[in-house]
Amino acid sequence: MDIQIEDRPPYKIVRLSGDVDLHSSPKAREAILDCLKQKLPLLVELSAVTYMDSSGVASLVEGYQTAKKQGLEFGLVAVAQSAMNVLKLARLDKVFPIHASFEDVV
Amino acid sequence: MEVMFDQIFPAETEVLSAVRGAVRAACHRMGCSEACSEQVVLAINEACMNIIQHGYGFSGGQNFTLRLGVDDAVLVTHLLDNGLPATDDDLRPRELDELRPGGLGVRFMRELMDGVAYLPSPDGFVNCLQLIKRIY
Repeated sequence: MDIQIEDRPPYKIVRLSGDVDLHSSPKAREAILDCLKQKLPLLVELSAVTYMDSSGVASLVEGYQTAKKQGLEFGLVAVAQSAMNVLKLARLDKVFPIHASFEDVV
Repeated sequence: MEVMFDQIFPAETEVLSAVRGAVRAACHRMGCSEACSEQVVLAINEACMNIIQHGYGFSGGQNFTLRLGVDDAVLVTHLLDNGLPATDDDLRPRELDELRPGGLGVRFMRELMDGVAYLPSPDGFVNCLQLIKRIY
């Protein structure tokens, strides 16, 4: 898994790519929570995610809940089909704000 | 059951990618559709995660055995380990109306497979988890 952090004011962007599994998801979780410490709205871009398991989903849920507690916007952008299938399985596709592209948000 | 794959893996998170690759390849050899394969891959990945995370507590230096076979158009998976003893009580899925991280693995296994249960373990193992799915 690869993580890229980008500033796109007013948003902080976390781009995840590759397999987000139990081996890599702690790093994804850390990146998401670190960005939220900066008190900026956060978008997680998932277009290049090739696989996501329940630990990856848990990282996104934790980010969403942390952002909500702080009154910050949290959304997912360009969700790859592999990740979307798992979000649907967890019935989270109706919970997370999901945007087709950055143009829809920024 | 015709065994299509039988391998011992270290119970470490680093191996999950290799497990998924092996399961995909075995599903392909058995003629599963791509959608079916990905469901099986996700379910088995979650079961392996449970062994590494809960069975062995990330302790390292441990192993599990993954055995895949086909029996009358049914994919049969056996995961054998020597972690903490587990029972079918550990296979109760949590409700999804409560939003919280974690606890989704069993839910995924239950939804993606046609059967998930602990069987009496063969000699030399503490746990034997069976996952089955009709593939044709």
